[in-house]
Amino acid sequence: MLEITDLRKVYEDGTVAVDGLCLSVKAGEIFVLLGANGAGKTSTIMLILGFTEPTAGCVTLNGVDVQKDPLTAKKHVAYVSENVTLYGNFTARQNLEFFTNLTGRTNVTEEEYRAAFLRVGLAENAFHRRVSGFSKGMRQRLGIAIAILKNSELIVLDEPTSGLDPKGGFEFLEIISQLKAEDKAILMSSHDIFRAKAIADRIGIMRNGQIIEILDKERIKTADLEKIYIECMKEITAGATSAKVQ
Amino acid sequence: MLLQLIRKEILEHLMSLRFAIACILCFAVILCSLFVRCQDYSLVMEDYYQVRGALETEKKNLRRPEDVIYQGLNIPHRPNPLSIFVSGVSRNEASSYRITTYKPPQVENAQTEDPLKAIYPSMDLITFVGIIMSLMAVIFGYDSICGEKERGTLRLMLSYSVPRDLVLLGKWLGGYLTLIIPFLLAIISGATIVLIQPEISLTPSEWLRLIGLFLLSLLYIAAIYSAAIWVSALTRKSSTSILAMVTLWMIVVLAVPNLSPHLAQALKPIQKVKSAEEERQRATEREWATYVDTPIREYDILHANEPNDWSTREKRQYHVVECHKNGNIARLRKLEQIDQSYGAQFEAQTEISRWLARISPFSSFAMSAAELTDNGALRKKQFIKQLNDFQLELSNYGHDEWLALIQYRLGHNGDQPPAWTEQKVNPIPTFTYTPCAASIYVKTILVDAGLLAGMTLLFFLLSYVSFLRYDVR
Amino acid sequence: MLINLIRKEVVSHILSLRFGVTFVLFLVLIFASMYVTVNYYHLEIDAYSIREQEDKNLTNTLLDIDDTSVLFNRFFYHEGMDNAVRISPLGWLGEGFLEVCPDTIKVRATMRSRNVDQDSAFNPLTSLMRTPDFYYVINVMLSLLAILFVFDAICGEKETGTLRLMLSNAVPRHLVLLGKWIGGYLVLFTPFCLAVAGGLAYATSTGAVKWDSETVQRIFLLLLTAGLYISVFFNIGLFVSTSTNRSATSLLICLLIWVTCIIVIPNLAPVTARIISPTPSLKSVQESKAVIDEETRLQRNILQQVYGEIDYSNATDSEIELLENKANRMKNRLDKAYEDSVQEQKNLAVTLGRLSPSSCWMYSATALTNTGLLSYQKFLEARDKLADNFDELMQYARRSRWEVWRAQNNADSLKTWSESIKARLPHFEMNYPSFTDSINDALNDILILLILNVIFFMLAFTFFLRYDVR
Repeated sequence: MLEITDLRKVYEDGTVAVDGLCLSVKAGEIFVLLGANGAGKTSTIMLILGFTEPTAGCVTLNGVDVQKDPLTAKKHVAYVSENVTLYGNFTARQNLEFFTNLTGRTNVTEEEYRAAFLRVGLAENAFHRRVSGFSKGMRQRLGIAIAILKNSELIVLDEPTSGLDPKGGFEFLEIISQLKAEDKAILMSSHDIFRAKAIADRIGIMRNGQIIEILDKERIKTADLEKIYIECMKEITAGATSAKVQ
Repeated sequence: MLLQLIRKEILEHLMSLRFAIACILCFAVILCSLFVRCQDYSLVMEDYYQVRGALETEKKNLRRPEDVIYQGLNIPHRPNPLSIFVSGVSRNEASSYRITTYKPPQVENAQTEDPLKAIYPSMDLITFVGIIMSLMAVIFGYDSICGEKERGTLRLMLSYSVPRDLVLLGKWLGGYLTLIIPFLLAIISGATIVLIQPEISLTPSEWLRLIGLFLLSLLYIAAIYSAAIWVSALTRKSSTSILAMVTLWMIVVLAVPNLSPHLAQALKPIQKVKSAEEERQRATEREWATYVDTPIREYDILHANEPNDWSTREKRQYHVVECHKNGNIARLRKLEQIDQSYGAQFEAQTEISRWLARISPFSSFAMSAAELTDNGALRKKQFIKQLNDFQLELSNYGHDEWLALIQYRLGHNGDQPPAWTEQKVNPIPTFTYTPCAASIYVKTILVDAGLLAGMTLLFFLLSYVSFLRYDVR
Repeated sequence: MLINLIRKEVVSHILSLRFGVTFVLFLVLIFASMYVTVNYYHLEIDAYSIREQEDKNLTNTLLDIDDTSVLFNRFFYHEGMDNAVRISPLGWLGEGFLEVCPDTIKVRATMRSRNVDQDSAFNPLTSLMRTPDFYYVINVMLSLLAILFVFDAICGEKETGTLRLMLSNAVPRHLVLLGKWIGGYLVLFTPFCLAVAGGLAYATSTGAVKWDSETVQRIFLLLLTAGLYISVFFNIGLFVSTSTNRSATSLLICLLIWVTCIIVIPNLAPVTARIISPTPSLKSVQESKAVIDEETRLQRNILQQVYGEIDYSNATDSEIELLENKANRMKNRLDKAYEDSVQEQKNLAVTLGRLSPSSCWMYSATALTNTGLLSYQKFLEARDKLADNFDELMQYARRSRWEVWRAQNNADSLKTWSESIKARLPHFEMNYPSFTDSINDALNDILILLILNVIFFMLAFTFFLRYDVR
């Protein structure tokens, strides 16, 4: 579904955000990018969505190169961003409608909107309320509903659970597993080991723009994820210190 | 797709505070000021009709042709109905002018102007559109890109397969439509109320001018709106964007147009009054000596030996009046020439100030709107020229009538002719202002209208370029 | 503690781009405005001396005519007398409300009139735009700059999170606000003073200003009032920023308030006054005056026919004089009634305008520099006095003309007569309000500005005490 080969991104100021990243996500799979702040998770997502141009390498979505044909490629991906505020003056219904219309689908019925809205666990009475009054969790759910209505094969989530309380976070993951059951490919970035462990089929640990280790389902279950993660992070600190010494 | 984007933009604006503010401002200010300007116009019209009536009595009361020369006539001048919408130069025009031979045209019964009105003139369309609507355009446009970026919706929107140019076009059209809807509604309802008044009637060309004025306003608003969008596509925070835009707005709308004439004066100074007035004085004396004093002296020497009877006296008077006529023709022509050459010098300065002012779209708009409604420099020039022409015409008429009377007496053995009051040889000329040819107006307006259209296009293209490279992260 | 807060405020302002822009704008705008008006002042003074000379020459030419009745008719009825009007002594700061005063006042027996202005015609912008004088720059631009300076004082700090950090220390909130006010205002007012000092130096160097103690006091008070006016908008901005959470919203609201204060209220005040307190139409007044004129004319014709046009006698003159006096009295009464109602409307407009600090500034600043509404009143009085004096002169000339007639119109008696007229020629003399009068006139508006300052600062204070820093 999602194929990333040798992706590299160097910003104008010389920072290497993504460094030779290779990755693939299949349909019906949840891939979690795990890493500390500044590891290159968000940069990778921005590259997947074509918001920034890669310095080298390529990203294909369903076989379409994001670089060459961004508009077609974007048909295959839905995006849920961290802290999306949406249009505060619009009701939930209007927000859903606007974004769904952007996919070119104009024949969506009222019932479908309502179904998507209820499916992400939002209360019926909020359907016609203005989004400016929504809490953070509600907005995040609405973001998922928008992604669901896009009905694309790949869903990319950028730190979806950050700032949610444990209950909210749990419910959120429920929805994502349901989507996986519908044979969607899901790429999610996170720095939360426990949530990642609970949900992921595969986990890629990122550091300095590289995936230094990919753990499959078996290893996630068996290995002490925490230990591996902390070890990876230790190497960073060590690297940073050695850099300073030099 | 574009329709969806436009719809969303319109809906979003409709539900915002700024739209409500725009509505209130447009309706309250436009309706109130049009109401008062309409009343003002009716008063001036009343004045005009009164002077027109008084003119007939005045004509009847002229006892001798000399009265036409010395007393002159107080001629009415129809006020421009479009001055309801645009103040322009008509603010300095009067509803009547007294035309005599020996003095420049004068305004009689000059009402002392209300000093409050001079400082705070009742708002016309130029001020309203130029200042308030442009500020509204800034407020509508400043966060169209960077605001969405701040909210994160820009990323979400662009994760769909929507081309960026469509997004920008949708934003521009949607925002612009919601911006001009309250304005158009208010101005159209105001104009309707004004134009159904019985005493206000527009000629077809005035209708065209009025419609042109509305279009020009829309163009100006579009230019400012595009600039605001451009700034919003350049910045990443909406507070930076509005700060930059308001500072720019202040310089462009409030400072540049007001300062430009004075800057031009500093750049290309003219000795304003001294030289011109002295020249006028000298020219008058010179022409008078050539055409009046010398010929009369020569005549007196030539006819020194003739008997001192009535016919000699009448003949001499005939000669004197003829000299006066010629003297006045020469004098007034000369004065016009001086004014023209002085005006040409002035024109050069004005041209500089015009181009300095055109840095600001507000001045382009103000100048072209004033010309378009026949309320600008063209009208003033044309009007003063015609007034001066009429002065010459009236002077010639008075002298001719006088000559005709003397001729009659000479031909009838000194008998007095029938009373001049009843039987004038020719009817007294009348004055009507006619605007100059439409092509001249079009030429003047096109520069500024073209500049405004160019600015709109330029700012839109610039915002397009900036938006294509806009970093949505 | 306060000093520390102020220092932080000053330093953070000075380091910002906004300060640079404001500083440059202040210097450029204020200096440009003064440059413009000072130059204009000199031009006006030159033009005035020419006009004055010309008017004198014209009058003398008329009075040298060697025929009594021609002289009388042409001087008093047809040509009249022109009087040049001088720009006010502090006119180098801008003409204020005296802008509407004509260059020249013409007086003649029956009418007052003005020349068509022929040369301001050619530059369309001068008739479209207000002159950017000192009053305008302060009124419109500096108020906006003050708002731009302060709109994010509180909510901006909240957005960046520094407000929470600051208040987590043991700093009382009122000190924070006070520090912000003093620091911001210092940074704003210093460039203003610098720019004004530059402008004044320029004006002095061109010789426009005569620095006597009264001028010094007037200018000093003017600057204080300007500071007060700027601080009103400063406080409004501060208040709005304590009552909003986002700086963009704050600026939006500030701009709205600014537009209302600077443009909407002053423009709509005269309009509203006219709707609330309408005046009788000028037409009706003029019609009744025309009726009186016509009657007088007929009666004068009858008198002249009775006594014969050439055979002027003292009796005819005095009867005509009586007639004209009576007509004038009646017309004056009509005028007075009309003018009273107009005056009432104007007063209402002035009062309504005070809803906006902008009008208060215009009233008080122009009052302090003798270009205000009171000075305009004085101008009207001076003009009326000139017209009255001219009428008196005419009566005198009419009476004394009899002497010339009796002396068989000989050259000597004519000369004596015209010399006596020349000696009695009235002059246009404008008595500007005295210093105390000006202050009394300005005091109301200065007080309003002061009260507005206090109100908005108190509002900002209360709102900030309850400000939600989360």
